[in-house]
This record gives sequence, structure tokens and C-alpha cells, in this order.
Amino acid sequence: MPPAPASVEELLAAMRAEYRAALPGKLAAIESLWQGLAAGTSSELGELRRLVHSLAGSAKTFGLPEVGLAARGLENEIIAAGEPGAGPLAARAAQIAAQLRALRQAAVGGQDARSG
Amino acid sequence: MGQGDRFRGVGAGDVLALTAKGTAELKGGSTSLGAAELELLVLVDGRSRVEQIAQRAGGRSAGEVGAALSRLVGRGLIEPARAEAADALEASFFSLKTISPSAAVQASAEQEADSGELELSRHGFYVSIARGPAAKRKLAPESPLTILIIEDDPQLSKLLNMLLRMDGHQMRVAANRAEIVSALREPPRPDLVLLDVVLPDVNGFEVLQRMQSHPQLKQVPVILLTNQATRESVAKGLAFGAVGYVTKPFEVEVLMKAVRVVLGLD
Repeated sequence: MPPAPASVEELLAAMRAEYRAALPGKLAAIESLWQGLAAGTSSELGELRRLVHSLAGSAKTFGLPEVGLAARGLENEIIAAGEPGAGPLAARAAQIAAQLRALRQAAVGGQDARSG
Repeated sequence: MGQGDRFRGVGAGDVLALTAKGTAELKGGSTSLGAAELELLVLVDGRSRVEQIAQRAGGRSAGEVGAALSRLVGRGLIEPARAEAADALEASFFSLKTISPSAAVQASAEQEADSGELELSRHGFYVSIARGPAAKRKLAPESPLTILIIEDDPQLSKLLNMLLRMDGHQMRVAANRAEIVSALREPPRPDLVLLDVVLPDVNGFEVLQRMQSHPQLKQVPVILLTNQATRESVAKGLAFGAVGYVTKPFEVEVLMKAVRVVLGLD
């Protein structure tokens, strides 16, 4: 077990690294849920929103503000798709897919910026 | 699981309760138990499912703690209990008759929401003027304050947990409905709850409303951690009894400041 961080700065650095390491898994879960929804094999729009919402509310705290912003954009599209009278999900599929791509790019950019 | 002569071991799904002998051991500061056994006895906390005990024991599996719990059963310190009793504990919190805010409380919250929304956008946190921060107090190492974090993002929960531990607090965490009930009934009662709004199987506003309907838990101050910094959500949170708001994503200094103000440490 690694030693406990001695300062807030050390803790933040360790937690930022942990968050970045967990990010691909979080994105994979979001992508998988979206693929199920887009294919009509899942109805978990609420769970998709929760995962994206979580990312939107946490990424900046862990030093990835662009990921947070992109997640917020995606969350807004998901909320709009779930509104009463929003029509079939397919009607917003293109917008959601575009926001998802933006989120993926922001995540790659954030990871590159940290390692570069 | 069998009882008495038929007892064969403890496993997932079983419910255990302290016996009179076990309670006496805890009260008397047992000398007959090893540190690990004593710690496990404390974690039974009256009556609990094996999974809850394992969770309190640092997230171990039910299988890992099962053998040690079996030994405590064999020594007559804990005993098998009826599962219905543990289920009833969860049901009792989420079946509480909720009290809706009165028209006067609602109107006051609506009035305060404007300043709350403004403060949130300026500073990232807001502590209710009406309820006010706690009276000034000093943190003593021998009597730490207990803070419950209700947050489903594992990294955010861990960060908050470690930050507040570094600040001298005793921490407890929960991420879903079952863990919330378990954490709220675990003594001592929390001095503060940090409550996320969007959770996997329950909404933070519902948890807040149920706490406010509970005779003891309504005394516990709650800070909402939320992405929703709108006037409507501020008014709703204040009407339901939250003492403060912290907007996500937050800077750690902002969160710590809000916690200290609400606890009267700032």
C-alpha cells in the first residue's frame, strides 16, 4: 500500500493520476450504454445521464476542465432527449454522437497534455 | 444459516446481532478479545448484514469476514438474527412519511434563492443565512467530528474522504440507497452530511427530505453538492432543509471553506 499523502498538494496529485487512469473505463461505460440505446437494445437513458453527469461534475476538480465541459455538453443533449415530447431517441442520435466524439477528443487531449 | 447446535458458519446474506454478552464485552472494554476480533464486534453495530459489516471493515468481502464472525458466534458474542429486522431498518428510513415544507418555509426559501444563486456563481458555495453557520467551536483531536459523504463518483468520494480526514474529521461514505441507510444509523450520528443530488438509485433531494422527516436526523446539517446551481434547485434545497450548497465541479479550498463554516470551525 502506498504511503498516505503528506499534504493536500500530494493528495491532489495522486488523486488526479487515479482519476486519469479511471477515465478510459468511465468513457467505455458511457460508450457502451450509448451503443445499446442507439441500437434499441437498452433503455437506460437515465443511467447514461448519471454517468455523464458525474463526469461533468468531477473532471475539472481533477484537473481536466475540457473533459468536464464536453461532458456537460453531452449531458445537455441527453437531458433534451429525455424531455417529455422529445420524440424518438433516433431523432437526437446525431447530436448525441457528436457530443460523445467531442468528449472522447477532450479526454485524449487532457491525457496528452498531462503526459506531454 | 442454522442456529445453536445447527450453526455451521456465517456467509453472505446472513444477519447478525450483538448478544447481551457481546454488548457487555464492548461496554466493559474487553480484555479477552484480540484487536481484530474486537474491531469486528464493534462493526456489527447492534444488528447488521454480513455485507454491511464487511463494507465497514474497509470494503472486505463477506467471505473474508465470515470466518472471523463465525468464531464470534461460537463464543456467544453475536448471534444469527432475523433478516426481516435488517430489511425493516432500511425500509423504515425510506418509508418515513415525509414532511413537505410549509408555505412560509417555501416562500422564505424562494426569497433566499436569489442571493444563494448569486453567491454560488461568485464563490462556488453558499451557506444559508436563515439557518446560519454553527456556533464557533474548536476541533479537538480526542473528539473528532463525524462527516458522512454521500457521493457515487468513487474518485470524488475518495478525495473528499481523504481531504477531510487530513483536516481531523472522522469519515463515513455512502454511494447508494442501502449504504446511506447503513451509514445514517451507524453511531455516532454525523455532525455533517455532504450530499450529492444525482445518485444511482435515489435522489439526493429525497434523502434530504427523509432526513428532515426523521426526529433525530433532522438536526444534522446537510450541504448539497450539485451540478445544478439554478435558482430553482437552490430554492428546493433550502426549502427541504439544506444549510448549504457547493457547486460541482468545485475547487477543494471552496469545499473545505464551506465545511468549516457550517461546522463553526471558520
